[in-house]
Amino acid sequence: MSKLSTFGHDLYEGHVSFDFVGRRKLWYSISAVVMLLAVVGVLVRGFSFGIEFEGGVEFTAQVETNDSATVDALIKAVGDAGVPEAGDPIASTSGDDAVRIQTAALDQDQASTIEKALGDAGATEVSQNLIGPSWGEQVAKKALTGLLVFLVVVVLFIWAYFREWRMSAAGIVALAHDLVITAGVYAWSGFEVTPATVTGLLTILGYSLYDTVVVFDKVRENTRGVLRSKTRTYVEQANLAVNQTLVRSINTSITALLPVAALLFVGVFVLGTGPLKDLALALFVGMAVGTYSSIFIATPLAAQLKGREPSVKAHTAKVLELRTREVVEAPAAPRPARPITTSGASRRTQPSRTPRSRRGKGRS
Amino acid sequence: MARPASRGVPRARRTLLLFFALVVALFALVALTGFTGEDDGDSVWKPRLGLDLQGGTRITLQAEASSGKVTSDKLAQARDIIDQRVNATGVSEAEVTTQGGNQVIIEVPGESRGGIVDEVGRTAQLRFRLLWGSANGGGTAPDDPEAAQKLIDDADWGSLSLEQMIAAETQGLTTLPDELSDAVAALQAQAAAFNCSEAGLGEVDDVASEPLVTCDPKTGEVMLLSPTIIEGNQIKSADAVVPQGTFEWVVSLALRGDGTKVFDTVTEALYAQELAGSQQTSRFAIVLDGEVLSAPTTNAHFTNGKSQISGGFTSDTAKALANQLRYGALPLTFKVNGVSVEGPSLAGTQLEAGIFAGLIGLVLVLVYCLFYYRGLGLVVIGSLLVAGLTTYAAVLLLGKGMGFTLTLPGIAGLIVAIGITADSFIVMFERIRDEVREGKSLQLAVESGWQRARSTIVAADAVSFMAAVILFIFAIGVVRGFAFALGLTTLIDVVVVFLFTKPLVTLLARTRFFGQGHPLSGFDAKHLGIGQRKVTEVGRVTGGRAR
Repeated sequence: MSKLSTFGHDLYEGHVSFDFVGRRKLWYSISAVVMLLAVVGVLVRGFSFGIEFEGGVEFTAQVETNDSATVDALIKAVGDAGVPEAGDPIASTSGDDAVRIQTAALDQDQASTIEKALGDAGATEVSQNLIGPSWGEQVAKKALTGLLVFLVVVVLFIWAYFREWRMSAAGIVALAHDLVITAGVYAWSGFEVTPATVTGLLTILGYSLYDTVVVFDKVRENTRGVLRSKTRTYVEQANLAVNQTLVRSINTSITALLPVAALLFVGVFVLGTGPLKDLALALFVGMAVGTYSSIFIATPLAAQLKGREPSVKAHTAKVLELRTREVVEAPAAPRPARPITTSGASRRTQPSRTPRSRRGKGRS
Repeated sequence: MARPASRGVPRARRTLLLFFALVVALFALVALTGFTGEDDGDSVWKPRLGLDLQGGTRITLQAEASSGKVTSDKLAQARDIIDQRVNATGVSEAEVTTQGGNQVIIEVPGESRGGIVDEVGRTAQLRFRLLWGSANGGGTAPDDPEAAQKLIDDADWGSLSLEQMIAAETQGLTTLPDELSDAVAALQAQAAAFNCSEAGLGEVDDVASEPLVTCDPKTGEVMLLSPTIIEGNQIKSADAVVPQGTFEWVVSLALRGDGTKVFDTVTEALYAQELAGSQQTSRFAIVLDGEVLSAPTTNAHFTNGKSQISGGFTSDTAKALANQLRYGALPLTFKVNGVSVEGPSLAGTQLEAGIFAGLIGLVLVLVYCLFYYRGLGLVVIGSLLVAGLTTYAAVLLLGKGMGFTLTLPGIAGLIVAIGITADSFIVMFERIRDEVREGKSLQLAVESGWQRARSTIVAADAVSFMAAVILFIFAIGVVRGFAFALGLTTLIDVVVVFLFTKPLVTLLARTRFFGQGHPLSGFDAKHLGIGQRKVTEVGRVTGGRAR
């Protein structure tokens, strides 16, 4: 516990430091391999699209108990309903008192016939969802437009906020990274892609950037005036920022993932298949990848891009040169000192505070 | 209290008070809507639930590209007309909305009404008929309405010539062939009993080849009309205009093809009646979907198919009539894109599951925050609680004000928002801790840490909000509920952090428990890793020991 509790402090001071920026090639390669796998997955295996993209009818029958006998009875009822178009229905149980049955596209009258047949076969209540073939396609088309608009707006926003196009570029790369990997997870796992999945994907955009903005904000703060420093390079300061925000990133990710996990749990175990599961799954995968990318991809990339700028390059070279000279004098590299700030104001508070704390001690 | 940091205390108190006043005002507003709003049986404290949570039917109609360019004007017109039609079927609580630039959504809560799709989606029928007679209606129904209807249906109306039909208007129904007299009597009985209400009009079965008993809902006049003389597709154009030299709005109407010829014959005969001083027998009726749109008198003989309908129009009513005439009602043709019928028990399960997921998520986040942030976890609990209250009030108000309904994806959005809201507290706490590590005393760190966390939180929430807005604009279907909930809670998050969490932390930093860095407060020296000094002290190694 004590290790965990001081971990944040050690990271902050630089006592413990992970070289996120310096070892970027490693992170890039890991991500490149994962992304490659994802792309291969999308190309080779493709997505298994939900009924929303194909068109069809989905019936949800409430039953007493959804054992296999009931499911068989319901499937038989669909087959015997006298609607040839509804042949070969796909049935799945959902929760412990519902069965979902999917058929090919039917018109309203045929759907009503099936509904009645299911009712006769023992379903206490039948819900139906008749989906036109263009529905999912439309959702996807809209989502794609939304994605493009969002990317443009975000590039402009980050550029305006940080005054730094490199951060926009790095943010977008991280975003693309998250989307590709999430898509890959869907392709390889064979999870169904529904409009709710697409929604989840779009939401990831917002969240992934939320995380990235938090880290970038710290990078900006740490690198302010770094070019005048004689001891620290831009890249080192950026790396310090990632380390300093690491605990924050972990905590925000955990708190964001916990409710999504709850959604996923309920979606899978209480409702069975359905929009809740699809949404939560996309969010869960995307958010986890999003946290990774803001630490391992976005910041190293932004720092790398920035490091190519002539003035930063020159400064880095100068600092490193100064450092090698110092090494001759003092063998150990200077351990980053904790900046100590004192202000007259805080010093004045001392006398009135100390007695109070003593009093407090005495009482307890 | 001469300490500089203490200046923030009265301000923090004021901000907190302001925030609570705001929350109370919100809830007062909700309570107020309960008194002013019409009583629809639901408590004002219950959010409006979407169909997936209370059961009902949802029909998605999509405009076909082949029916011309889909403009928002046309779509809005179609929406209004479909709304009228749905209401005419006797479904009172249905909501008809447009969506995504080319869709019309019909939502009927509570019952399974997939069948209305056939009635509302079809292109409406506009027909011209002669006015055979008027009645007051509202009388007692005939003994056997079905037999009477059968009599009417079986009668041979098709053999009537246009001249015979005109004669029936100008010289009375007795001029009709004798074999039709029973059917005519049945029609007259129907007219006498006709109830000019939405329900009555809903039962009208507009068959082109038969006479029709219906009414003009604007005037309440019940009419017995001839079989169709001109079909709506004979209308070439219809416009609302103010003719030169006049000040009155009229609807100018141009017919084409056979319609011109028929109209020539009809207006010749009817105009003669008008000239003879018989206003009533010079009228014809324009019927839309079994409902009389207009029954003008004829005051000219139109030979070229061009005519004007006048009579007390305003610019709006003239335009509305012109639109109805022009489009035969629906300005677009629609195809059914989706019908979803959710049974009430499935809906109930979904609602329970949503609430269950929310509770689990909330508890998990709270436990984690208490574990990691100790006493500060209580601040998170408090902040999430007030954020929840504010969101609840906002959902209620938006439900009343702009018809926002809570759907399953909406609840999912609220649940996801728990984490994102907690994130902004974490950003703030970590910043404060950073400042303490930098060597500031806790009270100073709260202020300076906030200064820096503030811009981070605003920037990050801005990105989150933009994502929600764009998602809302481009999403269709229930997904919009998700985006809306996400955007709403992002805004509320900013309000809560600024007006509640920050002032609360400022005040708490002055208490002994937090201010002195109690081991359970989340601000203890050991937890922060500044073992050599107390959190009340500025960063200089004082030699004091951490507790």
